[in-house]
Amino acid sequence: MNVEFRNPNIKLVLLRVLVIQILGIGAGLIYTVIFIEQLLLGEVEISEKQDDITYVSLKVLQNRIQSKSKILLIDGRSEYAYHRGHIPGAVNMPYIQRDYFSQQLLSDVARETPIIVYCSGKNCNTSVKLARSLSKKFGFIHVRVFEGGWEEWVKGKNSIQTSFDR
Amino acid sequence: MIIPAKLAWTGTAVRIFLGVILGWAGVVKIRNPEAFIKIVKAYNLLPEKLVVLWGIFLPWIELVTGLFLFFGLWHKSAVLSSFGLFLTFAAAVSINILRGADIACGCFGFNDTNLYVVLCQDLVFLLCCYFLFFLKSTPYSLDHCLFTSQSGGLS
Repeated sequence: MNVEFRNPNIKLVLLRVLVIQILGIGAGLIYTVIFIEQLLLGEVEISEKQDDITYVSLKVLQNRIQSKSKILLIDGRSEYAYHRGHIPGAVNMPYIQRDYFSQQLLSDVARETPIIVYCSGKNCNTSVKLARSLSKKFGFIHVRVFEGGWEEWVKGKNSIQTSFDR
Repeated sequence: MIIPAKLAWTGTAVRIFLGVILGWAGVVKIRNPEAFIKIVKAYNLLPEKLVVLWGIFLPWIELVTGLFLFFGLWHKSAVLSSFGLFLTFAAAVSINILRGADIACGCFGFNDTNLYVVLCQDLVFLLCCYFLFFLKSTPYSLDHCLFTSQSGGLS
């Protein structure tokens, strides 16, 4: 029992290789534009500080807020600090109460939703721990950390929101 | 071209195996593009702008190539495309072995893997590609359904 095949010519083979590459690039482009356009726009900063954490700068966060992009901004500080003032649009999720807050805040949020987490400033580690927890425990795919946190936001004279503004 | 049946069926198994490997590797990276981009950056072979583009598009090329191999469509072209991919990976890993870099491979996940093991894997996959290229096509493939001559096929 043998199998017989025709031998395609080399030009056709190479043309098809090119088509395969173009199909791959096209699929990647469509996926990126739909789901993670910020990667193509160069808004993601590739930091090597924590291998599994992606950081965003103040400028990127401002752009995301101004463009009214669909993001979930999470304030990882205590409830007290949050109520005194936070980045406009942010929701509060103190790290130690994350399980309780996540049930209230995240149950209806799609796992593909881009999330940016922040805490007090460069020296706090809560945002990193919270980001890890959100991606590993709750399965969110695009979780980033605004490293400068509340400190950098206030220093940049950006608008703030208190709980009384609502 | 007449291929002994045993060899042809082995080819089918190898083709499906390589297709699954490439598809799986692509999907893992697509699910977490940022982690993959960081690994590409750690390889230190491309400028930053290209790192991002490479990190976005390479997994999709892997996935599409894997699908073509898995379904056996355009056999030779899919095998050549895979050969190119594995050759690129092998070259990138070899350069970093020579540099003495201690980096994650980023092949089928984002855990640390010994680069020598990765290089061996890539060489095995390259041999598989060579074997498949020599076969030209295999049974249980779309090529077999669409492009074999009327007198051909299993006989």
